[in-house]
Amino acid sequence: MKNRCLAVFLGLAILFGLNLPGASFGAEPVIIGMPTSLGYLEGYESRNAAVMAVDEINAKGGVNVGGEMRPFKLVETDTRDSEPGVPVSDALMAYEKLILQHKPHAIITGFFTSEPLLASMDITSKHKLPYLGTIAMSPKFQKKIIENYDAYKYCFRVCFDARQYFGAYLNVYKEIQADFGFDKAFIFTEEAMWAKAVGGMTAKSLKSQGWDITGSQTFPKGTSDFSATLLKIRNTKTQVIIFISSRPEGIIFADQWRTMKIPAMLTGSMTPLVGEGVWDQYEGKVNGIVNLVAAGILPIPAIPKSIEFHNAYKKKFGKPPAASHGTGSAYEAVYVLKTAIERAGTLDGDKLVAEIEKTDRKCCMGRLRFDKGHQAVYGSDPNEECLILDFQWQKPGKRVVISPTGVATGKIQLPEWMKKK
Amino acid sequence: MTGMFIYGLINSAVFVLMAIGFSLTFGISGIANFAYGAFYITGAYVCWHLLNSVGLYYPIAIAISVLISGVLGTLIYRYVLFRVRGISLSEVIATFGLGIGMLELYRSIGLTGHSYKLPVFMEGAVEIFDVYVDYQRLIILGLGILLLILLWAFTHHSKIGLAFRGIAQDEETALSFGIESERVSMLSFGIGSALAGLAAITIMPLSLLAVEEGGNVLVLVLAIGIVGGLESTLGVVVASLIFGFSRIIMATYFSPHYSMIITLVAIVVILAVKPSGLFGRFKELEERV
Repeated sequence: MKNRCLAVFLGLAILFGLNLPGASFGAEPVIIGMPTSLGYLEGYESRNAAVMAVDEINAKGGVNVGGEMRPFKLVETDTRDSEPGVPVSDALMAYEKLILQHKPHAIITGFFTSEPLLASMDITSKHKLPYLGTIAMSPKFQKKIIENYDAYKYCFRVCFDARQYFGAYLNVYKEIQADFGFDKAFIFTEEAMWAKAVGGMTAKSLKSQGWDITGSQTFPKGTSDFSATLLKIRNTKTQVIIFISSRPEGIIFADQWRTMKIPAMLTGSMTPLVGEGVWDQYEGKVNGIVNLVAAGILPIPAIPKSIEFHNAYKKKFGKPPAASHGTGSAYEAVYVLKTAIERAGTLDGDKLVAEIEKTDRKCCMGRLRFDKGHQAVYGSDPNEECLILDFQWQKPGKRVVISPTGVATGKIQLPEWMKKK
Repeated sequence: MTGMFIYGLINSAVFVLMAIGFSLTFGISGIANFAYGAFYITGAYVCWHLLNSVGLYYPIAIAISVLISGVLGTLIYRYVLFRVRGISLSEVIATFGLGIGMLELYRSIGLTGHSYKLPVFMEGAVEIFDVYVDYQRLIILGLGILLLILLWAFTHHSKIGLAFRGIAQDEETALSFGIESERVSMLSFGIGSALAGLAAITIMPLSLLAVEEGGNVLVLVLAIGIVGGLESTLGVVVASLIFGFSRIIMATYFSPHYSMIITLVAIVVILAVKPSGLFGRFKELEERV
């Protein structure tokens, strides 16, 4: 009886001992914090992609920190900043709680919307944490860094910003003008800083190219009926709709545009409608929509790593990536961090910043480098920059790349009900 | 102009469908159901699961979802509201708390993002005076009208319906005639919750199933109730027409943002001018005094 008790006691001691914090046999992990809107597509796919990168790195022994191999550990928190009615202050509190509770060595992905992103830059600097943003897109981010480098040097953005995004899709309108002679556009954006910035720049640029902007509106988060705007678009004889939003409302808008047979091409950015599975999910109803996506989410032969990333993601999670830009960027952000840590040989924030600035990496989006505003460089040559792809959903369920012309796989087409006219 | 009229009418039908259950419950039991938005989401969420997780046939899934919403409402009345009925502040706190709790529960078990969408009852669209209207919107219009007729017939030609009216007119007198007011109130709460579920299942195929919609719906039904008169079915219809047309006019000529502003402005104006609403009688006497 005495022996049995001793055996049980020893067994329990071993069992608890193995699970006690600090008693693990591995090295201390390098903690990556991920505060973002986890309930939304860009957010949860960014987490998936980061998990994939962390697993890959840990499977190969982890990250070399000054000669010691240490595993990465991802800790996440749902900032809910994308949800209607959630104030910026709540998102910031969630961010600072993550920092204080888990003491991360770096932050990736970050806020979904630009308002909390800009407001959080002071918190990031206070804690001297390298921050690799992959979703929010306001150009004011790098403006703040350039104007006050010492204060905000910890902040980087791996995904494209609103200006690069805007530059990428302008080519589409040149093509539409040349092919179909259209010159009337209506701009409809979500109520967000980045979207309004893109809308404003688009209007200005298209006007200078001879386009007539028939209207420009924003819609609030949570809008579930667009019939009034669509009727206005129809009544103003608009030929091209430029819809700019990363929110789920894009699905509702596209659905209403199709059922009301609005005689105008639907173009722009509708984040929920970029994934490979969208055609089947909506039974081909996305046919004719011109959309925009980061390379990697849409794999192209010109960027072999985009195909590798796409296939690996699909294999690990059972379905292909479907967000417009956060997924590939989050995956690459982990590798950018790994390289910087290994070069710096330390987890010191200032030294990591200096190494992240030197990033030059062939990745799933093209070639990743940062400019002086710590913004990833995007353009049209995958050997020099990261790529944003304009594509159109065409039968039988293909995403036909229209721009950049160097990697295009087809020509733009009119929606079926416009062809009849 | 034709398009604006057609879509204004459809929007009005959407609002009637949304608000009729709230109005019915308040008219009979006197309880302002602040958990109405949560019951709305419950109906749609249950239906989505019955369709996608269980694989039921759509009409059967709809029937079960509406039933579940109704039973849930009845149980909540029996075990929570029964104890606080008549204490207005407690009623509001109880229903409001329940509503938030239910919505947060759905959010915590995964109702976020844009993966949840109910299918339309019938695919396709029809051209009416040069404007395309999808069948789902026409179904909403038809169902809104049908529901009003059925409710009228129920409250005027059935025993329970007459009891409903008796309680609504004067609870104490109805009691003296042997009508059990608590049972009738419980039934009205259950039917109101079921109607919320039915409205969601009919309206939500036009958008996405999201927790946030629960809050939006509550604001809208309160606005319709306050403007039309909380317990008045005619008030619901008139207020829905006012909101249906004014919102589409504001969104067309100004911005979609103004469609929400006009809702809130209407509440303030009516509260200042006629607090019982256009067709309400609830506080009419106090107002006159």
